[in-house]
Amino acid sequence: MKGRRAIGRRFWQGVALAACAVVPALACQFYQPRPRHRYIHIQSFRYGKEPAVIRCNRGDWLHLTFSTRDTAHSFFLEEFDLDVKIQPHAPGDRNPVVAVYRTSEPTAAPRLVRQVVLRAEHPGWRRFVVSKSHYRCHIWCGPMHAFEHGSLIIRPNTLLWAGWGLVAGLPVIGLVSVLSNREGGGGHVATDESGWDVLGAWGWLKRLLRWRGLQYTAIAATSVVFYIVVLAALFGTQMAGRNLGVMLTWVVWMFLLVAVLTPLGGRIWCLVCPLPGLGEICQRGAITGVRLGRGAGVRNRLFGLNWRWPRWLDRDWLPAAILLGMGTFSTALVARPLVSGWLFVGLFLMATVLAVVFPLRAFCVHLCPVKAFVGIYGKAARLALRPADPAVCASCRVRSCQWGSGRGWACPYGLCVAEIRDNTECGLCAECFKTCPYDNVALRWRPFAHETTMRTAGEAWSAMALLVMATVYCLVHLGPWPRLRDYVNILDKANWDLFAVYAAVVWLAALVGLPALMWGAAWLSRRWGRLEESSGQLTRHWSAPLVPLGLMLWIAFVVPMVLVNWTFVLQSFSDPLGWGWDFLGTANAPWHQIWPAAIPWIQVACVVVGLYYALSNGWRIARRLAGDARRAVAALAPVAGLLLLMAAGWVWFFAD
Amino acid sequence: MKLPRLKLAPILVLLVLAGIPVGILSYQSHRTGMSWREILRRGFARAGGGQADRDALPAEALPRGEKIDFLEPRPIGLPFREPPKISNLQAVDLDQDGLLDVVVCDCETNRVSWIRQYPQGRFTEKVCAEGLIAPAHVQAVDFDDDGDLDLLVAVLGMLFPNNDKIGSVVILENDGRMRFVPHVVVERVARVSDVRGGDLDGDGDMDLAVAQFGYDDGQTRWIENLGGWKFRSHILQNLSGPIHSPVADMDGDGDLDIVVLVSQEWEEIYVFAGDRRGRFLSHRIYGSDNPDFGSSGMWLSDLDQDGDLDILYTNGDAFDYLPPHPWPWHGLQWLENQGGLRFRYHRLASFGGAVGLQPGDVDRDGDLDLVAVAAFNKWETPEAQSMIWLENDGHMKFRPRDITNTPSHIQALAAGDFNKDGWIDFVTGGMHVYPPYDRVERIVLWTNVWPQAGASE
Repeated sequence: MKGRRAIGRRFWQGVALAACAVVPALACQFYQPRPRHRYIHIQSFRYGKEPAVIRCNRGDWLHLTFSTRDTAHSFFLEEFDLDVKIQPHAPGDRNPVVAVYRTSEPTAAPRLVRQVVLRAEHPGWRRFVVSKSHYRCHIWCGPMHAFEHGSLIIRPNTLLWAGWGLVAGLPVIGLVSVLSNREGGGGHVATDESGWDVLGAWGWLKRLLRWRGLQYTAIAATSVVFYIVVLAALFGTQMAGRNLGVMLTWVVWMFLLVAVLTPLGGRIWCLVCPLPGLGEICQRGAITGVRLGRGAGVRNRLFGLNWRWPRWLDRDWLPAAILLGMGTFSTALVARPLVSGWLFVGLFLMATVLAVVFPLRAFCVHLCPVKAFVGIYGKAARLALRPADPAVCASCRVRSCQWGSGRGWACPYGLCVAEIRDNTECGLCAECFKTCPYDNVALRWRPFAHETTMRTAGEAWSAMALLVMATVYCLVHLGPWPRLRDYVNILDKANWDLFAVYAAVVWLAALVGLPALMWGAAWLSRRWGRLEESSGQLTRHWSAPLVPLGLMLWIAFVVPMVLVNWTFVLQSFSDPLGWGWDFLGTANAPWHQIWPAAIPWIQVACVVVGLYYALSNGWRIARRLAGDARRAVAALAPVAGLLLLMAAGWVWFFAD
Repeated sequence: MKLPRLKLAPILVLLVLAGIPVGILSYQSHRTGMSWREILRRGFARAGGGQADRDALPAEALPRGEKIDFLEPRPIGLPFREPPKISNLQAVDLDQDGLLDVVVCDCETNRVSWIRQYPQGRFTEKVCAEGLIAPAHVQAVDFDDDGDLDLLVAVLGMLFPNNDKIGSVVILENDGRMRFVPHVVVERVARVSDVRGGDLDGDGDMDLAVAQFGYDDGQTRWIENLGGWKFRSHILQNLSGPIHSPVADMDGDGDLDIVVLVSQEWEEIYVFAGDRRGRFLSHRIYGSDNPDFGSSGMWLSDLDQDGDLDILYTNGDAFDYLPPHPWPWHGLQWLENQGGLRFRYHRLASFGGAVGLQPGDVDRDGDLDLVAVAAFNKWETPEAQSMIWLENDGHMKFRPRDITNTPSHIQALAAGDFNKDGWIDFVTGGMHVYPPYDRVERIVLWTNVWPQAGASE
């Protein structure tokens, strides 16, 4: 009876939520002025368009003329089957002849015209839902060419109003739901037994995880790919869009890591990561074999100096700070294959050298920038490694998982399975499946965004820094504003002065700005919810809802990277070094984006889903901290307000 | 034999570590004819950002050429309103009336035209074909062996870089009455920058060697003439940036080879040595370590008059960085043919934005001099020349002499005795796609008035 009531409640919540999206989306259709003629001159330059955003009403006639300030550019608008090529012209010529190609048939003879007339309306049902399109440049005009784009917004903006409706509706429906629920709902905490026991169902997977060759077979495969990536980045073409090293890393791998591996498998990438492989082999003096011995606080023999990791460097925030530092130079990394190549070599050497100097995986535990991402966002992952039965672990005295045994190596991350409470530190290397004498290690398949704890202030800061990075990346790389891109252009424009300002703003936002906002929200939360913990401690707690929100924002960032650039991925697979090869016959494939009209919808959906999980986790944290439902609502209110503001802003950014 | 397990892994690792680069090197060597050393040298130069040629003299430090006036300019052809964009010229007696004419590729009007000289000294421009978007190169040759000169036209599809497959090769067939019927040989391919005719497979008819600049997806191909205006393409190379593809017997074996200048990030010259049966073996004969070298043109001439063809080579393309401006390493060079497809590099002079180089015994002293033009010199300074003469002292030492800085932006250059006085004249075409626009000309005939000028020192 109770279950049926819960299902019924869920159903009505779903209906109400859908109404929150549909009602404003329908209402905005009635605001549609009569179509009119708009005369717009579009100036292209490295790296942007002016106007950067064209706003018009559905059915308007856009009379577009074009010019360029520097080299040749194009106005590539795939949703309207339009690719206008603009060539340099005499400075006085405000209205030069342009060549108009069709994106659906790029080799067909162009029309040479001075003006392009475009009806701002999509065919069929799409006219009601597609409001935002990106016009891009399809002539390589410099190292930051890929970031040259602007936005065409056709009003009424169905997506914007639907997105805002959902953002507004989520907290209202949540509030009504918790206040109408006698018990208040929520407040449960993830336990070690939470989730479906994967290995219990799939015996073959357990056997696979116990196989000593598993990790290094996987690492061998990824190492070969990594080697090719490094060779391509160092020796291949320096045109990023044609270099396998860049495309495989910053488009394919990044998409897989952010949108697939981390949300589903947490730190499962660490299982196959090629960076620590060689160092670990040197440290162990073996690939699949196990040596018993003493030293470095474990029961295995580890070669190398085995120095203690300096205490002053043992900081949770350090990997995030390194990631932030790398991220500050992200444009150079993406646009210059050589920079990427040397970075990969540097990281590999660092991981190898540190493995010889310090015991276990010092690089992965203390420095790895990828760990900063997968460690924090792995908290939201569905997969988790936990004790099968905590009671067995409680009675265990040998701690083979942590210190090793004759059956397997000590945990490379220095963990004891019994003490694993979240996904941040465990690299899923599967060593503990081999070492545990009680067969007491389980893989749990849990609901998404199940964890609501932040262990340290460093973790909390990392979550905030990652959110700031995602926001900055979206603004700089996905936003239409060319001036913003000038701030990161240290490549051909060498804007080091602007870059210094950019770096200062990013670091200040990550180190001070968002933490200060979160602290302010925590202070209000403490007062309104009459909580006992300090504002600092509450800031740590309240940073946990940023995990699902931040992860979904990162997904919103990487989705267009892969959908827009897929053709270039295929091209680089066919000609990895850009040396004129064509293994797959796709080296010269014409550029087509995958479903470009859907990209803003996917991005807004990511934000809404992230907000849902953030509010949901926020409520569970509030219940844990406040106990009483009304106090929990009061405590959550300021944080929820901040989350709503951010989500509303991102919906606006992605939809409008 | 069973290897111990521990030893197998390092061997496997070494095999992979060495095998992948070896595979890459072998495949590239097989495709291009480059030695492993050459591939490695190029690869390491790229990886280290090394640019060996950048130690060339800076433009400001160059010995300044002494001014010499022996060419008298005279604009010919149609008037213009927009800044002209002449990509290529050929001085040829197209109507075979005994007077040199000029065939013009005009990227502003997207036409190929013929400036007819008739009677002597009077020039009238007539359009041969319209709607050829950005024609890059034209060669007059009797393609169909009917006794009149046809025009082989390389059509970019767009003047400025573009990755789309918009290039085409068009033959304008001369019907004998100087009317031209277009035949599209190949279309919807990477932007075509050059097409040259020659019997590449030894079957008696004329085939085509085609350079497709593209952007980062260029190609080099030869097109087999099957007769009846039917053709079959054979891809020779997939590198981006081929500019010129002249056809000649470079190795002295009696059959035709294709010489290809590949610019973009490669900056290399290849000879595709033919075997008279339509098979070609690739040889890389020159490569710069400087990916910004700016290769801009290549012409064949027996400069040292030793009986074989040498290669004249300019580097002055300045579009790698915007706004375009000359670099210290821009200039002129020739590759001396030493036989057996071995060539020796000789730097002639530095010349900012150099794009054209033509040989000719300008002063009639028995050796070949050179005239060069520039499209991207430092136009804001009056000393920056758009046309210079390199005087050959008879021992293959060349002394640069300033000719003019007006007009600026000279892209096309052709030589010939237009007034039949026995002295080499020149004709130039302007490519005015960047400021300044204060010295704009479309096509200029430069008449050699050496005797009147008393120019000999």
